[in-house]
Amino acid sequence: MKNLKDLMATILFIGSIFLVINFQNNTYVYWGVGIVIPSFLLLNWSIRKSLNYKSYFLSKYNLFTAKYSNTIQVDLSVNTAFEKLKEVLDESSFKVVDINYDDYEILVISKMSVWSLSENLYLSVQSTSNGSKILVEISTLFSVYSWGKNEENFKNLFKKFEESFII
Amino acid sequence: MSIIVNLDIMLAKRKMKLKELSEEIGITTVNLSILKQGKVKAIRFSTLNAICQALDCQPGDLLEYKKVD
Repeated sequence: MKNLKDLMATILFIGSIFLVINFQNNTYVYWGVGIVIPSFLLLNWSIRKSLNYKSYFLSKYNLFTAKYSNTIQVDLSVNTAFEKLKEVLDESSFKVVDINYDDYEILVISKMSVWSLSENLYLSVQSTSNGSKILVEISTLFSVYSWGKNEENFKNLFKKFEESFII
Repeated sequence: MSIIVNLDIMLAKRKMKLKELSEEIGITTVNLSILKQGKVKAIRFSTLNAICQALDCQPGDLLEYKKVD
């Protein structure tokens, strides 16, 4: 899937350059590019703050978002780990936008910057044989590559979570 | 871990609930609960000081070392 994504991105990039060079006077090309890309961006922007669209953003078939996932092992019960996670997020730079208390799921978004449109972080606390684990699934808003932002977000969250155990 | 946290024993001795202690010293119940279970990485002197003040006890009443073979 990663290779397919790379291939798609390359074709899109070369295709865009080809269109712009060869159809400089064709307004349809400019309208097409000018409407389709912002429409996708607006769609993703409007539905991003809901856990209901988690599968859309994280789907392997969604080639326009870059995904990353990792886990944090916790020696706590699911309830305590969930409360602890909420507390850590409240004190972090991430913004909590949706919570599902029944399934122990939290959706947070990272800060927007010059370099990124911010990312969605889907966190779910799950029970394991020796405590619980926090599954962290990160997706870009509308970008084929995250340029390391997804990994950076996980590192920041992990660091904040670890630091919170110094009381 | 070989360091045992006896916070629950001290709370029982002082007939105080975790929530009451949390409100008195300004540390969340989640954090106190984790501390009570001995699952924290470290404890600040300021936290230890606040707990000792609230429970009118010594650090040794809260922390105990048990040798693990």
